[in-house]
Amino acid sequence: MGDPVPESGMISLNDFHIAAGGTTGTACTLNDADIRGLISKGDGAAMNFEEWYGASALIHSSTVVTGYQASQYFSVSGYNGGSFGSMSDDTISSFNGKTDVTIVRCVRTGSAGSEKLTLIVNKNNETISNAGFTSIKIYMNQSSAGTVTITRNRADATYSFTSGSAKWEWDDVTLAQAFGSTVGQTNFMELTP
Amino acid sequence: MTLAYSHITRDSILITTLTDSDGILVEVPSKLNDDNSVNETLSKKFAETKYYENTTVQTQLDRIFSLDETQVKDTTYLNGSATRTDYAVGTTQGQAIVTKLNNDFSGEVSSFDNNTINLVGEYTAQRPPYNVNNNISFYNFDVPTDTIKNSFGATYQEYKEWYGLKFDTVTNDVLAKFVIPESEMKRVDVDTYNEINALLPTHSYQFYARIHDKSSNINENVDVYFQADPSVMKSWCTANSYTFPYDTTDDTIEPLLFIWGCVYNTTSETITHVKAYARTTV
Repeated sequence: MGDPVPESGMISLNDFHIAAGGTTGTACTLNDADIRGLISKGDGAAMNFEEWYGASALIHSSTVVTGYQASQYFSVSGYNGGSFGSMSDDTISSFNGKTDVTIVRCVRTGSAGSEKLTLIVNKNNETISNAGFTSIKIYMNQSSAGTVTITRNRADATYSFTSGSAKWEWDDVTLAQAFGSTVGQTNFMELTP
Repeated sequence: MTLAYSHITRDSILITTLTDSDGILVEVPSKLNDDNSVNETLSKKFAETKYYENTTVQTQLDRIFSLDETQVKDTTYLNGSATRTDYAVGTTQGQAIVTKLNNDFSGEVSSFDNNTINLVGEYTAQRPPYNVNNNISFYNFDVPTDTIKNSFGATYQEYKEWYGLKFDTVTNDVLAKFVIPESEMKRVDVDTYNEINALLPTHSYQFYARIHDKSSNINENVDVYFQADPSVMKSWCTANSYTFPYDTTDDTIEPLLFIWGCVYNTTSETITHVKAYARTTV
């Protein structure tokens, strides 16, 4: 996916095309599905140029450098804010109607046969509803979006809101699919709109 | 704690919600019947599982991660009292037991204490298939070697990264406890897997253990282990007339709990024992 449409100033159809992953200077139309999809418009729908500022094919993306913690019965790998692992960008600039939402945790937890992927976000303990993205993608052992390892849809997740944090969890995600056990390994994650 | 449930539809998806009186909210995709109506029982149980994974179960796991595993002291509770204490092999208590193992059972494994998180314990067995003799338990936190697998006729496709050996100090018999993930239990004996899960209360992260002897016989008693909320376990034991594993008037036990176990007898098709495990350090 390409760079987001600028947040302000002059914008063009070419900016939209790049944001959707197209090649600069090549033919496209506002009604192409991938382009209108940036602002969630249906076929032939009316749209306003104001709606395009900041439009992106992604809600967020970041590297996730693997941290790993294991007990005799259980292990956790990925990014656990303030505890282990790291992200190149743990702040989602615009998420679910809020700005600067922090990713608190992006980890795989459990033990073989009972594992899950967990995403936790927080915005000053404000209520965050079960919305804001369509899917999460993990690219194992890659520093950018290359070959996707797993995609999990929000609609299939369990959601909880507790102690000011919103949490999404997906069952049946293995160590090999999410962050592994090699401390320092660089992986990549995306949240799609 | 009072839990309230509702079923909603959002973006054409059926969702079961659970809220508690502290404002915790859980939403899960509803479990559906064949006619696509919401299966109330399964949906509530799923929501409860996720609720406890956010509350007491998570608290248990966070505490376990904070402990030094080379200094572990695990206490097993069964039939209302403590029945066994396991120690990490590097502790003073653990080393004393390792010495006994080296004296009497040195040929069973190459080393009892090469992995510092291995556990050993002495106890008098209280339930089948173990003889009512003095026993030593040894838990090796490595994947079982081919030698161990071959000695006890274990042919599982998946193993968890630990196994147990049980040494009868009177008869010198040795039993092996192979620990397998949920998926492997389902593969090797789906009927037992389904029967056990039909009986268990709301829980998380289950795995199993099957006991083999040196003639490759697999014992009729299967262990299932899982994380669960203590209040859920109490209600469940009461409702099913199972003996609760520990003295509930002792309020020092519950904060130390980290896992539960049940013994399921495949012949009688019943849960015969409920176990609770508490972990601290020496």
